[in-house]
Amino acid sequence: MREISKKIVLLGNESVGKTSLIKQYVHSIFNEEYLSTIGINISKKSVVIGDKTYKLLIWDVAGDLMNEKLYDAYLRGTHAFLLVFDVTLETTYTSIMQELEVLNSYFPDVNKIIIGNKMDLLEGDSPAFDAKFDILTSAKTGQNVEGAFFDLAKRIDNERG
Amino acid sequence: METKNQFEELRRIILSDDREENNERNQRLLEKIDVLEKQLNDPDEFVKILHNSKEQVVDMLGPHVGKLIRKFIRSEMERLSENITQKRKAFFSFDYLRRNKKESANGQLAQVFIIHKHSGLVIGEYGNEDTIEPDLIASMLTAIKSFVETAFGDGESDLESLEYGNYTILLFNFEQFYFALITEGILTKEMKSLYFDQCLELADDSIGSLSFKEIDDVLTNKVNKYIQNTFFSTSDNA
Repeated sequence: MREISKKIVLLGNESVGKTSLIKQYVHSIFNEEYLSTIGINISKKSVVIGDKTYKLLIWDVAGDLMNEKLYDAYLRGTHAFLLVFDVTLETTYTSIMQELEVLNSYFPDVNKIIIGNKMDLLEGDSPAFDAKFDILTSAKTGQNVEGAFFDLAKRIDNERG
Repeated sequence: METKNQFEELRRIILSDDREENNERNQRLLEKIDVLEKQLNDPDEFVKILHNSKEQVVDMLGPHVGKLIRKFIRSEMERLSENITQKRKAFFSFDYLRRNKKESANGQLAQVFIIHKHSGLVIGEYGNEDTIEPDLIASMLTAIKSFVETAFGDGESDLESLEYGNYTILLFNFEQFYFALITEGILTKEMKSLYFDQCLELADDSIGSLSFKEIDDVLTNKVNKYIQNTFFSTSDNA
């Protein structure tokens, strides 16, 4: 089986649950202490699509990373973005929409998936505010977490043709 | 003829005193030579003479001895310098490093990574011991490198090394990728330079012509072998 490596970047505000999503999903993760030092944490997960295994190296970029240059440096060479917002906080959605706009201008051909996290806190099926997203997840219960990353890998695979 | 005889007679009369004096002087000199000859044949006597006349001996031999000493020292220094150069060349050759890998840990390679510069994905890696999660290490190294180069540099300088305990990670940067050489023990400039030459050679001969559009196991297996052959093949067989 062919194994292909891809760099994935996870973006979103500080409290949206990015790190919890990662913990729920991945097998191996780098020491979390690094996150506070350089604003990044890295984990790995393999996803099998057909006759190929996608080795995803997931860069969890700190939500409060203020240094623009550093932010740009971490984003270089990315094969797909996961943008996460909190379904209970509209400001986090607005924030990732702004981010998406910037990403579309700098990385127009790179896949981007929008994830609404904390779906376990929803009273209905969708957020109380207008939001366009690809998938809802719950890092707390693990619901759809696997599916979100599978969807991402599938998009990458489709892109390859 | 008669004139000549008269002249000889005159000279005999005038110089008779001088001749006597010369004869006496010659006699005294011969006596002195006899005494000296006896003394020189007797080591104790010779030492005594030298001791009594040491200042004259030093004055007489000084310039010659000085020259000899200087010549000797220069010759010995040249030999020593040549010896050191030869040993240094031998010591820092890759063959030597490979041969003595198990005997000395100084600057020896533990692992070599070739990492895609922006994505941080492993293009190839090889080491004497299996490393846990080389993919994570490569990505984290890339993140640290980006952090240092961006936060502390002007964005145009490259991070060249990281040190931790007994380990030094050497980073050699190329356009699309960089080498990360994990070395153990004391690393000299010569060794660093040699490692860099090896990286340069490998990049020019093999890695530079590869495409990194997609990094998969076909590519990494190929590059792993390049790394093994370049940095580890002899030592493994040793």
